[in-house]
Amino acid sequence: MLSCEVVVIGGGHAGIEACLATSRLGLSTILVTSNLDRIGYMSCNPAIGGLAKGHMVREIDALGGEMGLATDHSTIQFKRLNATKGPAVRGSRSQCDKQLYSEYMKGVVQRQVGLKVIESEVKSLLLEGDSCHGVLLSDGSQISSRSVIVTTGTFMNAVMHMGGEQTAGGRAGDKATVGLSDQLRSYGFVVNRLKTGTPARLIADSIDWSKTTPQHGDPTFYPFSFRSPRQLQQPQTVCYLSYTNENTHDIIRKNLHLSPMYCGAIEGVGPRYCPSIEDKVTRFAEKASHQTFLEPEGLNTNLIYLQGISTSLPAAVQNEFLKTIPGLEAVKVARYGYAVEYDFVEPTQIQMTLESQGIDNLFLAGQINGTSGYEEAAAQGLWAGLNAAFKIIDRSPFLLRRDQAYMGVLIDDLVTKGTKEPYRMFTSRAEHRLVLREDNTLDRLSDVSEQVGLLGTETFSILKSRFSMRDDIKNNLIKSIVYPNDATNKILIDKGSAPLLKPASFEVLLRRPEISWATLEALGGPNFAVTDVDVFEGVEIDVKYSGYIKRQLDMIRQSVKMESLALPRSLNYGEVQGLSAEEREKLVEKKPETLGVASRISGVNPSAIQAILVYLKGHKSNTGTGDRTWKKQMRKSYLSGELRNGSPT
Amino acid sequence: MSYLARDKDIIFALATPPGHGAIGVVRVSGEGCAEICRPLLGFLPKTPVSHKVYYGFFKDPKTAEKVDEVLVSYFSRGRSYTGEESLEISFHGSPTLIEAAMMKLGDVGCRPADRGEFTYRAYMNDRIDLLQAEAVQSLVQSRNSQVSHQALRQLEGQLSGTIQEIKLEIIRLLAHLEANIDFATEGLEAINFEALNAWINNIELKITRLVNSYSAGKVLRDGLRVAIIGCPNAGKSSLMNAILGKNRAIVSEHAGTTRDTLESSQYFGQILSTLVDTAGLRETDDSIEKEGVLRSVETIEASDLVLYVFDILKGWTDEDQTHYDKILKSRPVLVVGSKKDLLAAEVKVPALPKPHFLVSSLTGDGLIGLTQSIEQMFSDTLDGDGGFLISARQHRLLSHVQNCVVAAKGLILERFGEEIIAIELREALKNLNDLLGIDLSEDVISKIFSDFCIGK
Repeated sequence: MLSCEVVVIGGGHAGIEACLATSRLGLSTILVTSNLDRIGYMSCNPAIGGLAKGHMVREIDALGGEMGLATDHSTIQFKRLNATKGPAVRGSRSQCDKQLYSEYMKGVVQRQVGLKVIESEVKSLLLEGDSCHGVLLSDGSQISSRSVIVTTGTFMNAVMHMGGEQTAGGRAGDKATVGLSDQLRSYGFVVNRLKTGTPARLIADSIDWSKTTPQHGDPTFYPFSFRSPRQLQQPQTVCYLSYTNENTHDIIRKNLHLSPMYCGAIEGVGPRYCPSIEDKVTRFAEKASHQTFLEPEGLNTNLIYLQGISTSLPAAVQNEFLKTIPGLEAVKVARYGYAVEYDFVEPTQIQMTLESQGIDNLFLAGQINGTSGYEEAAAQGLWAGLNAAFKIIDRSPFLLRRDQAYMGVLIDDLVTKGTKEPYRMFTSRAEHRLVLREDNTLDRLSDVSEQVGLLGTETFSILKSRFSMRDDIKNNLIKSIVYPNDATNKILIDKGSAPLLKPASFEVLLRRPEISWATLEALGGPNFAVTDVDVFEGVEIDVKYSGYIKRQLDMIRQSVKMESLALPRSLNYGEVQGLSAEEREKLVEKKPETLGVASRISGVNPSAIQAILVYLKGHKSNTGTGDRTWKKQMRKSYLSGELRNGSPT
Repeated sequence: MSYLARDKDIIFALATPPGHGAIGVVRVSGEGCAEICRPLLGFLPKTPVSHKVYYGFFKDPKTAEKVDEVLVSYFSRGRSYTGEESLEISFHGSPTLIEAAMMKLGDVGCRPADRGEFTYRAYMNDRIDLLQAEAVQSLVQSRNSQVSHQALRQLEGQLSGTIQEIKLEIIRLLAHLEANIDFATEGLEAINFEALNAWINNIELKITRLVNSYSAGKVLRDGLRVAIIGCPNAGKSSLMNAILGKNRAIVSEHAGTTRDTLESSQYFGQILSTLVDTAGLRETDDSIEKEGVLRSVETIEASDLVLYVFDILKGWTDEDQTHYDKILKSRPVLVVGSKKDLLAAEVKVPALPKPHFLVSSLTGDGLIGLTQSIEQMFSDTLDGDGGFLISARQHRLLSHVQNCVVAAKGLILERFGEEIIAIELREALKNLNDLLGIDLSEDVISKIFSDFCIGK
């Protein structure tokens, strides 16, 4: 019988971050995967990043996770999204070579000291009482461990649909995982169903590219990882844009009854932001055409990913409508699009650390928690891995607040509010969007990362010198003055800005929305040898957003206070006076860890928070001793990465 | 230890029962309240002494106009009900006046207390024990779920309809902005600033109308005060008796009988109205009468509507016109010609300001027309399609929403980025959340997906 300290089930994006984190922290780890070749495989769009998602990749990287490095290594087209918009809403997105990405991850996993990979299936968890102590494999052997992290993705009881055909499996070419969700259900977990879809993969040679519009990547590369080289490591490719048209739509409409999603063959809610082409054509019938991007899946493959046309219509119908799309008149399909329905665990049953509420030492991370997206999965994998490790070595839990990282928003949303459809991160989910930017990821997380300990200490001294360089520049801007004269004012007027009537500092000028760093340089800006775009961009942002950032910081300071008050798990809400029946029910169900979490539960009003405070004050002596240590730990964790110098930027 | 930002706010609330009384006391609690209220209570010394009562005028913070003569009891920290520095301001007991004063408290930065908040603070500062606090909490909870009277409920239905409209507009606008941030690459139409401008202006209009409706809604909440004014012996007391249908006032032949003011209430339609009979307006040397005349002036100021009564036989005099013009400057006036029964049929009625009514308190002729008109006047405005704000809390929250919308408007005009405009709109939405007691953030995301065809 094998034994180790941590078992990770599933070698997808969540599983990889989890097993790397635990093994790098010195805990013996075994990764169990049903297919060694599919470690780090991208099931759907061969791309990493995007708005909010890219932010999370950087956060994962800042903490010592692997996704950023893998992405940078395999980037074959890079784009900075919203480049002309404000800094808080700019994001990075990389089109990747699927094979290179997967090989990179496989290599890292196989070389990792303390990490063993086994190709097998997990039949069930080994449970005793309310605690998990290992897994039972399909060949009858067991692995005993101190914790288990489940990162099975979309594989639990998964069924793929294409037209009327149904095949068991979490992904084309992969088996389903059977047994785990039933076991969880028998332990009282609420396990529901979700669905997701994927488009067809086409053969590049069969496409008439002349009918499509080429889309090139950006010339400037912003690597996801601060540890990656600044230059692109792979040759870059071109993507191509095409459109559906009314003919396409007609075919789809005529055959809607053959779509499993439309004739009710699939239970399970799908993501709204990943609608199938059937959805698009029905809900937005007035749109005469929908755009689609043809993305190469890699440098050495003939496969083209048809973005935006996810479907589960029968193969024959897919063939028919695909051929109406410009460029695809003679297309050959390598693999048809299909839908997958799968089990997921309602995430309100999980704690903030991603340890399950019902079973000790069992952690859940990734799409099994109802999220969608590789980045969301990886973020959870890292979070769960760190917490599983910290629990074993008796450190305070690893937690991030909503104002510290998108990861914080993700976990808080999942655990506090749960999800009815595959959860995807958007910038609009973050109330502190202004302070959660790509450019300040390291500012926000370097202290936390240092405490976490996945990265070496030399890394942090380099970072600190960058921070002080930025402060120097900003001070310089405040001290240097621009004088009003014809030349200066002409430059300003050209930019659509008001001319100067009296001398002003460069800093004051930079606050104007229409003035950029480039303008300052044109005005004979202060002379620094600043080539590091991250540095001067950071200054630009600080200055432009300063008023609003200050407001955000005030709000953040307030919420930190609320987060610092831990609520004992044994709190008897039945005894709290002044709660409505609905509020009481919600509080009992969610068992919020802190006052902050309680205040975010939908339906819980400020008067209820008041009521809880009154109760806690009056019942100070009644909290359990076991809870006190947990409380102290929670409080410490939440305040980790406290506002640096009073500001997270 | 305060966990909530709002625990640091300076709160105020009416401490005496609502309605008319001899005095009305407003309690203010919070560190620094004396300083914050200084623009209103300039007569307070720099360092007031605890438990001392100070006399002076409560003034408008901007115009320094006197609002009322007041007594202020000051309590230093640790020696008040809540344990915080506190004031108790005693006003004359006119609801209109106190309402106005509380608005001014809001203007200088205080806010109306939520139910049970004084007690909550008292408990958190160890001034009362848990049992007492919990008793209040339960009471608060049960009061929250009680149903207020029919008319208010009806209005809340109308009101919530308007608020829903405003909410939906803000969500739509916000969703548009957010879609352009998170899904910019998906072939959405770019933001059209002209359209945004029109949009936000529309929202601002709706909210402003609603915020301004607060005073009209007050009529329903607090009832209508109708002052019966006129020269001596014009027939005021008779009119009051006739309307009320009982011999409430003292009626006699001499001018100047009603020395003091007399009040009585009845419903005009849905509105509880208090009629106030006053001494005749005239110059007099009789000190008791003088007092009565002064009261009339005060009564006019404390009323929502004035019935100006004149004797038809004596005709509409210049003195009447003068008084009428003066009163009309500040509030609605209905002219009532009394003693119609004594009017010979062929005598021409002089030109009278409109609206006017000719009545006979003796026979009842014309009275129904008068009372129906009064009912109509206020019901009309209340039946308006907008709905009315009933409570100070609603007013405060919607004022916040208004501020955010105005700020957003400015940002749109200056072409700021979507993420900045979104901040103001989100703040507006948060205040609407508080008002409606729900979490609207999912609504925005839903709206994005229902309105825009996006997604890979």
